[in-house]
Amino acid sequence: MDDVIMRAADVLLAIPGLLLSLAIITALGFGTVNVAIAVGAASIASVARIMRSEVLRVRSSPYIEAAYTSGNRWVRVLGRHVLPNAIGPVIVLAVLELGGAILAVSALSFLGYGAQPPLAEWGSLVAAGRDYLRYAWWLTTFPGIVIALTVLAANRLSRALDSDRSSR
Amino acid sequence: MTVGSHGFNAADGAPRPVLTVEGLSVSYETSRGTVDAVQDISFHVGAGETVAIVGESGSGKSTTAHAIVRLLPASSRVGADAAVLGDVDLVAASDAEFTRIRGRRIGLVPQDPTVSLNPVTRIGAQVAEVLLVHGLADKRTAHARVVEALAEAGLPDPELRARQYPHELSGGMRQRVLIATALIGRPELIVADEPTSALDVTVQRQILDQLDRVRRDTGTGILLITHDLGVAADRADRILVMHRGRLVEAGTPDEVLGAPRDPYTRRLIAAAPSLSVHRGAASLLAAESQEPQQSEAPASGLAWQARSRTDEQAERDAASRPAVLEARDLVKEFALPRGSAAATQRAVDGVSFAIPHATTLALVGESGSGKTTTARLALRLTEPTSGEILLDGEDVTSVRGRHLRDLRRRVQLVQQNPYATLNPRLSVEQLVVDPLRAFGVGDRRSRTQRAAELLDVVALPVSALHRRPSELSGGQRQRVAIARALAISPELLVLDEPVSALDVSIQHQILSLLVGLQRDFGLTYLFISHDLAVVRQIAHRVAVLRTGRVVETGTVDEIFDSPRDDYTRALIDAIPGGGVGTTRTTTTPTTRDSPADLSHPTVLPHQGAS
Repeated sequence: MDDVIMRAADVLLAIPGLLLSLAIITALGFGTVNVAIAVGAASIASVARIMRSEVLRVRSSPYIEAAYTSGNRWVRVLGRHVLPNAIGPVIVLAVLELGGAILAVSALSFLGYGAQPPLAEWGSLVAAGRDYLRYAWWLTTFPGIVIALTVLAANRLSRALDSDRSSR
Repeated sequence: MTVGSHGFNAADGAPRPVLTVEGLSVSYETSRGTVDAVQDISFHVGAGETVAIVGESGSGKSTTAHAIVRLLPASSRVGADAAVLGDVDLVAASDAEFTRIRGRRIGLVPQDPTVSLNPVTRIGAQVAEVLLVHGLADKRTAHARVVEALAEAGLPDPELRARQYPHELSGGMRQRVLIATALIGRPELIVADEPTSALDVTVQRQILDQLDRVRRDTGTGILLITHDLGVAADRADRILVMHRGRLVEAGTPDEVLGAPRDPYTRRLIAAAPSLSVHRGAASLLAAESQEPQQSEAPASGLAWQARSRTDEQAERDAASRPAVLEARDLVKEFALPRGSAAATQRAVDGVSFAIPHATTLALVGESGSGKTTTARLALRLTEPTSGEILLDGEDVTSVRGRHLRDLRRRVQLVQQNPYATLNPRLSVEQLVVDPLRAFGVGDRRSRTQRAAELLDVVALPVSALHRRPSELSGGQRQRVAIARALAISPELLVLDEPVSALDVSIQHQILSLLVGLQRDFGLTYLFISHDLAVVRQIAHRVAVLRTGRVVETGTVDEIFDSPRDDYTRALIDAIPGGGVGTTRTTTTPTTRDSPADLSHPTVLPHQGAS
């Protein structure tokens, strides 16, 4: 079971994320929700990896053995002892991936795969404004700055979470 | 032979001092302000002299050692009136000058040999590094010097060892490599920071013998940092006792141990298990029955005290009831990686024992003897390859599901390292009631009440209920672990090295607590330990394990007073502190064919009296 999942993750990791998202979105069709699914699917592998290694680390700690000898059932050990101790790095990664995801979604909608015209979206705003770059530079620049700031903010948040976690 | 009682006055013809330290202070800058780790310490080490600094964790003994070799973190501030090594002023020396001093003039033997060697470099190259960086030899001549140093450090086959990698060597051998590294530059001073704390007792003794020999042969001064008063008493010419960063006592072993002036030293001596073994009055069991009022458990009002009984009842029960835990011919084989010489390795090889009600059986052995595996088998955390485990006469070797959970209810575990055995995310209350919740005992309120009672039993304040493990000290954590194990009133506690990670005075408290609990609640203990001195304090019966087999069983007195097996004798002889109060010999010769030496094919020549 573990082998199957991890080999699948290896395969996913071997394909560049944006390419995978493009492939999924061409299969599912255009639209905001589909872009979200496509970008999410591309980051499954790295999250799965981190989660697995954390669970393996926590599972071998003496307090898990203590939990079993205390008479806890498997599900309870997993839910109460393993998961809370293993989830930290995954949350940090998730926040970090949020920045990456925003960038990926913007890239996809810049290419026109995301929200369709009447709906506004940062990536499509950049795309729409690029023809008028010489006369109205702000049309592309401001959405671009907002994207960059959001991604940086997510990064910063992730780092803050990480140092908070490791200081405990 | 060096005699410990010579004065250290220059007029008495004492050795010339190699290291003189006066008024050494170290403080750390932390986010909560300045912490004084070492305050105003003065001492000196003479040529060919061993000076031991003894103290518990946090006493500043390692900080002192590191301050001398200037290996402290950047957040530290060191001040000293004088620190002189031979002709060098260590206070005034620049960092560049210090680089030339380390390795060349001061050798350092670090604490944990398992992590102190570079795993990807051959032994020879690592030892030679000292020579090369100090320009003491070139690449061609270094090899011969390395082999010589390895031989001097007591490694058999030094030529072969020089070509090997650290993982191919045992812990004791690695420590010898580190000693070789420390002495190859012919330093005037060797600073040994707990050089044997990570090693088995028999190996510890060999290593300390080796350091003694090196000191005698080369006239090096040794600054020995240790937490073990027994080791200090055996090996040192002078002992310095540190407590909370201050020097509280200094003198020869006879002075310090015979007539301690400071109350802290007296407490330390009273708590040191290795010393009490040799003093005779070792067992806490006897001490406890003489002073029943010392009980740390409350006397009444608890529902679960139904199990509490008087001694007479216990005896009657013990006679009529089957052994609480019985192991019959337990065998556990582990699969070895493919390509090894054998397909499996027997970690436990036909171990049998029985523990009568309300008594303690100690399983003693060195690392790799299979004692922890035996404990895990008894707990059904691993499946035995063959053999039977009986609990109250009932075969539980292969029970599963509901019955296995019933077993968990009757057998509880206290693990070795209290820093790792408590889930860091839960509060003390949640930790203690975890077994109750797991078995669905009581409701929320009754469980909270029970947690408070349990903390009372293990002598922790009720205010600890809402703390997290990280806010507790090692001893307090171990008390929480014991409270958790007691929560569902088990019959049998498996104690896997419960005190080996703790300071001696804390060890003593925890052992007293365990003895008190056994008396009050009629608990049965399976006590796993590598420390014979601790075992003597708590056990009724002892089983000595060696390479998965029981080599000897008997009552504590039988084992300690008249051991039948050579290995048992070697283990007992290796307990440090034996020289105290008697004629001080540096080494007690072991039996010629002592099996403890088998791990080191070349038996080191033990020196006779000089």
